[in-house]
This record gives sequence, C-alpha cells and structure tokens, in this order.
Amino acid sequence: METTYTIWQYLFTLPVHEIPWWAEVFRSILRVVIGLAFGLGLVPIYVWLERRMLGWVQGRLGPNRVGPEGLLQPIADVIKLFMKEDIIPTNVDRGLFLIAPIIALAPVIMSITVIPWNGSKSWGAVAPGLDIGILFLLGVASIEVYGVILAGWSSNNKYSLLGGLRASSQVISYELGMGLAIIAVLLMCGTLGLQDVVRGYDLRQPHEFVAGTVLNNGQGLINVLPLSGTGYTFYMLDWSSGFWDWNVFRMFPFGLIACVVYMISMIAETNRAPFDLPEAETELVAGFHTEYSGFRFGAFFMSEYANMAIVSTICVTLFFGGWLAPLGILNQVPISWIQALTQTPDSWVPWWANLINSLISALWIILKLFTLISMFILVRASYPRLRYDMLMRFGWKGLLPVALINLVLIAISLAVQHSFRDSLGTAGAWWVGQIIAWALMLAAMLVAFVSVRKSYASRQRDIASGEIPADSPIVRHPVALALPALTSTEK
Amino acid sequence: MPNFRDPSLSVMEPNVLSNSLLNSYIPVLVMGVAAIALAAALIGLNGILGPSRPNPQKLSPYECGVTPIGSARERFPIKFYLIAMLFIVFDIETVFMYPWAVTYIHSGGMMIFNLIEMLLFVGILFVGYYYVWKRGAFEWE
Amino acid sequence: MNDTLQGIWAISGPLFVAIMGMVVLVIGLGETSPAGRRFLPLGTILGLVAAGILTLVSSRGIPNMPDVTPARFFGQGMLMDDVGGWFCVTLCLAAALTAGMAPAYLEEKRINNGEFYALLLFATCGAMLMALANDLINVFVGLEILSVSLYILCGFSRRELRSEEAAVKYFLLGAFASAFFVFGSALIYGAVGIANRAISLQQENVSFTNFDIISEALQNSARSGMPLMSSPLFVTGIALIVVGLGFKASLVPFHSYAPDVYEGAPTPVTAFMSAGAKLGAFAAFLRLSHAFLASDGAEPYRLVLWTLAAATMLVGNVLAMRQTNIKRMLACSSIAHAGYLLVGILASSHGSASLYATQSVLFYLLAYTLMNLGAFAVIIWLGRNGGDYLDIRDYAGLAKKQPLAALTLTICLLSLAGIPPTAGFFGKLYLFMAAIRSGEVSIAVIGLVISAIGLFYYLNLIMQMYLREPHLEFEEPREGGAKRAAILAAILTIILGVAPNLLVSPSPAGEMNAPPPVPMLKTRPGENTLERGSLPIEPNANR
Repeated sequence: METTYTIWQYLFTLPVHEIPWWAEVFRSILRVVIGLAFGLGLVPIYVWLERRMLGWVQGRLGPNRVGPEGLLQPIADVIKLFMKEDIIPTNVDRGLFLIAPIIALAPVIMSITVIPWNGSKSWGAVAPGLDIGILFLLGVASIEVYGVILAGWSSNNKYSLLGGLRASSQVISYELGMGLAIIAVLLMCGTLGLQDVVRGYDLRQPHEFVAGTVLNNGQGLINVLPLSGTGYTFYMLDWSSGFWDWNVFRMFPFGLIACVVYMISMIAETNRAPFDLPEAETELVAGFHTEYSGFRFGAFFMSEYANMAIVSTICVTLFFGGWLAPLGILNQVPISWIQALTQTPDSWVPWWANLINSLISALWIILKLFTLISMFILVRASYPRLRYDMLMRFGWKGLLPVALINLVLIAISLAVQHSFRDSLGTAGAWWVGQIIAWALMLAAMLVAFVSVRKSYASRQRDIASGEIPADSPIVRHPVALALPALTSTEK
Repeated sequence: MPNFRDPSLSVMEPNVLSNSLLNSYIPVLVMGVAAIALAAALIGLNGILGPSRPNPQKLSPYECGVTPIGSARERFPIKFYLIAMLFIVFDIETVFMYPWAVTYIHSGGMMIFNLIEMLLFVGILFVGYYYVWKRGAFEWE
Repeated sequence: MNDTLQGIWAISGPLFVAIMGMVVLVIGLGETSPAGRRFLPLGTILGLVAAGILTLVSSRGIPNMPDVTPARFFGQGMLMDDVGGWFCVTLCLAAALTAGMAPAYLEEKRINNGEFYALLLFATCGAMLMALANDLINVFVGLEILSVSLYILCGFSRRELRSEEAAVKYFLLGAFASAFFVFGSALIYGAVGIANRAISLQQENVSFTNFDIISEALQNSARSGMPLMSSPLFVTGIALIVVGLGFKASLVPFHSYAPDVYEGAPTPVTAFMSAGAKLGAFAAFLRLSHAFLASDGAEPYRLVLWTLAAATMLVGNVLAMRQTNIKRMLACSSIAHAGYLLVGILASSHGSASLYATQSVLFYLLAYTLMNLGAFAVIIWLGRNGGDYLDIRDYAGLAKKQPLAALTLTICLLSLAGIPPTAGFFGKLYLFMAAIRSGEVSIAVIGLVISAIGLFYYLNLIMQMYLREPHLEFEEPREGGAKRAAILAAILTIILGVAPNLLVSPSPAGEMNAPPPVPMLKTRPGENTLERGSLPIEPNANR
C-alpha cells in the first residue's frame, strides 16, 4: 500500500506513527513553542496576580501604574533585570555558581513536556506519545533541587549555604509525601501516561479495559473517535461525565486524601509560604540566591514561579481532570454540529473545528490552573510561616504516614472489590471494598489519636513535674494541630 | 495482560512501531535542547545588556554590610545529612512501589498475592519508620 | 505461588533470623529496665537456635519436593543443600556465642542497645544468604547485608575513637571491596553471556551470573575449543570477585585492614567478625570453586588460589609473631587461618577430592568458629570495669589467679595451633589431606611448615600464663555470659577433637582412590547420602 502524502499532511494532519522523524521534529518544535508560550508566557501574569491579590488581601493597591491595572509591571521588572549588572562575587566556586541558575530553570521548563492540554494523540502535549509521563515528571523535577543546593554551596555566603541546605532538605522531605500521593493515583488508574490519567478509566471494570480501544458508549468516559485521514485523532467526550469522575473524588475519600497530601507537598516543594523558610527574609536575607543579581537571580525567580505553575498543572492533571470540563456538555462542540452547520459531508471535518475544540480544552486547564494559583496566593496571604522543626515534623510524621496508609487502604479496597466482583456485581463490590477500607481508616485514626493523647498527657506530666519548661518549643503533633478538640487534655 | 500501547500499532510492521517509539521521544529531545538553550540565552542576554563595573566592595560576600567573618564553607549541622540519608532510604522504597502500583489493577487473579507482597514490603518499611521515629531522627531540636 | 512458598520454606532459617532482628530492634527501643535488657540477648539466642533448627529441618528436605537436595529456588537464584545448611548452623552458633558473651561488656560500655543484637542478627542473615545463594547477584545482596551491619557494629562503641577509626577504615575499604565484587559479577555476566551466545547453550531466561550456568558455560566452552577461562573478560571478572571476597576473608594482600579493625572494634564484634565474615566469604568461595570443578581450563584460577593461600598463611603467621596486643595477635592468626581454609578451597576445585575437601573446609570452619570465639570470650570474661587485658604481658601468671580462664584459653590456643586432642588438629589434618588427595602436595607441605611457625606465638601466650609470675590481680572479672560462652566453646572444641566423627566423617586415613567420604551432616539412617551430595555437578575424574 504505497500512498503519497503531501508535505502539509506530513507536517500537520497525519497520525504520529505514520510520519518520518523530520516531520516529527518540525511538529515538536511547533509544540515546544506552544508549550513554552503557555508555560513561561503566563509567568508574568502570575506575578502580577500575586502582587495584586496580596495587595487586595492586605488592604492596599499593589502595582497599578505600568499599563492597564499594572499588568505590564512584571514586563518592566524583567527588562530591569536584563539591564542589571551580573555580579560574580569573589571567592565563589565559579563554575558551579554560573551553572546553578540554569540547572534550576531548565528542568522546570522540561517538565512542561508531558503535560497534556487536550485530548489529541498527535498534538495534545509537547510529547503526546510519551506513555511514561509521571515517571518523566518526577525524574526531571527532582533535578531542580541540584540547582538550589549548588547555588547555596557555591556562593561563599553563610546565608546562601544555610538557605540552600534548608531548601534542599525541605524539598526532599516533601518529595516523599508527594511521591506516595502520586502512587495513589497510579494505583487507581493503572497507568503512567498522563493522558490516560486525565481520561480516567472506570475503575469498576479495570479488567475489561484496554487502553486506547473504542470504549462502549455510556460505560467509559470517552469514545475514541479516530477521524480517518487526519492526525488530529481526539476523543469525543461523553456528555454524561463530569467532575464526579475526577480522580479527586474517586474511591472517596482516598482520592481526596491523596489530593490534599499532594497539594500540601507541592506548596512545600516550591518553597512557598507558609513553607518559605529557605527564603525567610527575616532570617536568611534571600536564602540560596542572596549573591545572585541580574538575570541569574531572574532565572531563580522565574523557576520558582514556573515551578509553581507546573506543580499546579500536575495537580490539575492528576486529580482535577486535566483538560476536561467540569460538566461533559462543556467539553467541546460536537463535530456533527459543525458538520451540520457548514453542511459538509460526514467524512470531512473543517480544519478549524479541531482547533476550536482544542482551544476549549486548553481553556479549561488554564482556568483550573489559575484557580489553584489563586489558592497558592491566598494561602500565602493567610498563614504565618512555620518554624523549621515544625516543617520537618509535619513532613515526616504527618504527611508520610498518612500518604502511606492511604495507599495501603486503596490497595486493600481494590483487592476486595476484585474478589467480590463476580458474586456481588460491580457496584456491590465497590461498596464492600470501600466499607472495609473505611473501617480500617477509622481504626488507623483511632490509633493515631490515642497515641497523640498519650504523648500529650506524658508531656503535661513532664511540665507539671518541672522536667521540661512549660514554654519549651515542642509544639503539637500535626494530627493534634489539625483537630485540637480531640486531643485537648484540659478538663 | 492488557496492551498498554495503542492497539492500532500492534498490527503494524515492527519498523512502524519503532518509528512511533522514536517519534514519541523526539519532542523530549527538542524540549531538552530548548530548555537549556533558553535558560542560557536569557542569562547571556543579561551579560550583553547589563553593565559591568565591578569594585571590591561590590564583589565581597553579602553579610548585611559588615566585613565578612571567616569562611562561609563551614561545618553545618549533621541533621541535614540524616535527612538526606532517610530520604534516600524512603525514596528508594517509594520507587519500588511504582511498577507495583501501575500493574496492580491489571493483575487479575494475582491481585491478592500482589497485595500481600506489598503489605509485607510496607510492613518492613513501617518497622524502619517506627524505629527512626522512636530514635528521634525526625526531631529537629 | 506454590514455588514461592517452597522457596520461602527452604530459606526459612535466614528469614527467621531477619524477622527476629526486626523484633529485637523494635523491642530494644523501649526497653530500659534491666529485665528488658536481659531479654535482648536471651531472645537473640533463642531466635538463633530456632533458626538453626529450622535450617536443619529445611535442609533435610523440602515439602512436596522429595529427593531434590540440593534444590534450587527463586528462579535458580537460591539453593538449599547440606553445605548451605552446615554454613547456616555454624553461623547461628557463632552469632549465638557472640550474643552470649556480649551483654556484660556492652553494659559496661553503656552500649547495650537493641541495635547491637539486631545488627548481629542482620549480619548473620546476610552471611546465611551468601551461603545459600546460587547466583553472584544474590551473593552480593547477602554480602552487602553482612558488610553494612558489620560496618555499623565496628563503630558501635561510639564514644571510643578507636572504634570509630575501625568503622571508618572498614567501611571505606569494604565499600571498595564490594564495588570490586559487583563489577566482577558484571564482567562475568558479560563473558558468560557471550560464551552462551557463541556455543548456544540453548537456554533462555537464565541469569549469566548463576553458578550452574557459569559451570555449564565453562564445560561447554572448553569442549567447543573456545574456553571461557581464556577470555580476558572472564578472567578479569574472577580476579575482581576474588579481590572482593578476599577482602571479607582477609586474605593477603587484602588483609592490611584486619589488625586495626579487629583491635578497634568492640571485642564481641571482633569475635563475630572473625568468624561470621569468613564464613560468608568462604561459602561464596566454595560455590565459586565448585563451578570450576569439571572445567579443564581452571589452572589460572588454581594458581591464583595457590599463591594467595601460601602468602596468606605465611604473612598471617609472621605478622602474628610480632604482636603484643592479644586482639591484634588473634586478628593476624585469623588471617593465617584464612590461608589454611584457602588450601581446602583450592583442593575442592579439583574433581578428584572435591567432596572430601568441601567437608574438610566445613569442619575447619566449625572448629575455627569455636576456638576463635572461645579465645575472644575469655578476653571478655577477664575484662573488668573500664577495659580489657589486651597486652600479652598482662596474661602473665593467669593460671595462678584465674585457673579456669587460663585453662579455657589454653584449650582454644592449642586448638588454634593445631595440637592433637583438639578440633583444630583434625581440621588442619583434613585440610592438608584434602590438598594431598587432590594433587596439591606442594601447598600442603608449605602449610605444614608454616603452621609449625605458628606454634611459636600461641605457645608464647600459654607460657606467659603458666610459667610467669603474676603482676596483675585480675579482680572482678566480668564472668557471666562470657564465661559460659568460653567454657562451652572450649568443651565443644575438645569434643570435636576427641571424636571428630561425631558430626563429620571424612576418614583421614581413607585410601587415595576411595570414593569421597560421605555425609555432610549426620544423616538419618537408611538414607543414601551419596545421592544427596552437595555438588551442583557430579565430580567426574575420568572425563
């Protein structure tokens, strides 16, 4: 079967597995440009949004002079940074000092690669065919911490060193909770590909599912509808689906717990308030980038904000349905409508129909992203900074066990569902599995509360007997912090 | 076993399959080059646009305006090493869970067996976790 | 799934030791009361006894798998046979004696924590895994479990600089040795894989580091005219592995750490290290040399072993003569003993005397464990608040002050020297007999001459104890567990020396052409032990 294709078809319309490598390079460059435009182009807007919102929360104006509503302020700041002197202090470890900002920024940009912005198999992400999405993200994202610690070490500055150490140990501490929360999603979806995670396979029939096949209508979320002859294979979405199918509401409340763990970890991972100890101005000047100026400082600044956006997008993708709309009907304009409207034959679709639908998907993910960013900003505006021991204790003693137990409970529930599916049917098995997991969860919570109460009582005794001073800096256990009423020892 | 690849690929000739595999990694390569180039270019641009007028005061380490005392590369608390070691241990345990988690719901009749194996694994992990907790490795003071 | 369960049953001994280690670790966390502290060594010893029994039971036969000792498990990666069982039981004995002698010593140094016993158990588990491994990778896993535990144990007395120094030295060198080992394994994997492809063993899904596969590849490649032994990749791999294992067994020229580390480490740890690490390393050596059994081109391997054995015996004994510190002296003597053991390993790589040599190595390791641990136990026994009597001159006139201790130490030293009514004598006899049977007469003669040199420093210490006037009082010896352990070890040494056939029966007077003397452990009556031989390949002298 020898078919000749036009250049246009190679570059734009053919499915990805039918084109030669040079056409894919061209497409990649195009997608990379789109990805960078969205990934980095939005950074100034976050900065503006943050400053305005903080101003609003604190009862002041924020930047409002440069451009309409101060929108051009971040652009002006960037231009200013370009015009500043790039100072390399004496006695720095020159090589590492120069390369650290690049090591901090490049992995963040790299993370954009696998994030899907719509359902297309050829155009839906920078690397839509990559089915190891989550592994790639974790691998790339963990490089970033090298930039931070190298900057701290090479600067020959005490603040930088301490800031770098703090930042790196904080990041690695919270990476564990984050990793375990992600594993919970993997467990529920059974796939590493982010596109598949977004589409969210129906857990109740995992054994019947084969990735990428045409799912039967009404059961799964999505129909795979390859439009013959075009590379723009995308997914016709089921109107009956909606936000209740997102991973965050899966296997309630375990998906939610994983989501909360992930969101707390992501705030800590990006060194944002209330976990912004590495840059605590009152203690460490500016932390690991104290000695940096000009755009080397700008690179750290940009990597922080871009990283914030990236982890939020990952959160949206993993837990909040990615590019899916909250209601199935809002997902896209059905092709058949467009065909009816333009009176085109069934076998042909106007090129702009796909474009419109992909823009709708991209719009949803950006909307969700800004919601999360706003949450970031409001958290920063509302909570005081943690002390370092509290931070560490919360990560290791709070998030880690919660995420681990959550994982185990999901696995138990799934196994029970699997064993009862034949006798009780899908829905019945779901309830049996969930009830067993809920019972185990309550038992675990009971154990935690009892142990916290016990350690609390012994602490009160120690205070009463004068063994430790009443104002000693040991604070409450994280569980107790969340639910003070349950652990209060006052009579 | 479920087929994780696009089933439309499995009926094609091997060279198409490898073509598809290669094609799916091309964007990663392009993005990697773009990321490093962009980061380097932005910093390079600053070097071109920005002035360069160094003087000894400007180039001295920042210590709140005071002349720096001693070297910055001193010993730092051993706690950081401890955190790093614990991270390595727990992170590797986490990594072992990835393949298990991905194949778990596809494991069919072996699901209970897989569950028991992972419970043993997590159990051993918990013994270590409990030990480290009780020994006070998570206390920062 | 059934295979997995059978495999788990087969290696239930080491698994039980590991679980016991975790239990002791967790119990040790909260225990501060004296009664709780006492439980730790007791629980450890009981666990080790139980693990020893489990090993004996499981090495006798695997449920549902009759008549298949040695049986392979876990994808051919582990095996269970009489050799492995013997190693495991000896290891349990060594660890139990250590746990018995340790408490008073640790209590004085304020380090009597659960971690000590847990690490001891983990180290034992690692060495047991080495003994049961049928694959270089599994040997490596066991080696690492053993080594990492020993690194920590060496520095366990963390308030003493000497102990820290020992730990750091041992760790740095040991990490290198482990790296050598694993790199060697990688090279062997490559070499065997290439050979497999060239001569098409027709096997898929096999590990090229598996001992069976290595042995098969060696035979087949020798037959096909492209001997694996002449492949530089393989020879380099074997050399690296010998370096890695040689370090653990403290063979010359990888011995230089031994006196420092043995001196610095807490005495019970030194005792365990001298036995446990050697047991693990020699188990791996034994499996490795069995892989060479039927191969024609194994001469380079044997030449290397010959050189190492001669050098180790000589250097160990010469070094020991110059020592004035008893721990250093015992460390050097343990180097020398590694040399004697290597003679047995060398003999076991010859098909003609392989079984006999294997048995003699096993017997010697048991005897060595008993006499060496006995000697260390006496040192702990005599110690008093604040320190041990480590200078050899301190032992002058010990017989007058502490006759029982002097007698026990004398028995152990005589056994180490190889004087007749003790286990050490028969151990050496069997080893050198095995060497002569296998045709390695030269190394046997060298060994005999050198062990005569070794008499000097053992007898010197005995002379100190019995013929000199005491200048120390030896007040308030620790006694307790250490005393019991020492006496037990000495009694067992004598028993093995008087009746060596009680456990093993390689007849020393056997004829040269007689079939190899049989049972590894005492077997059940009526059981044909020849078929349950320990070798992966039937030795075939006529081939």
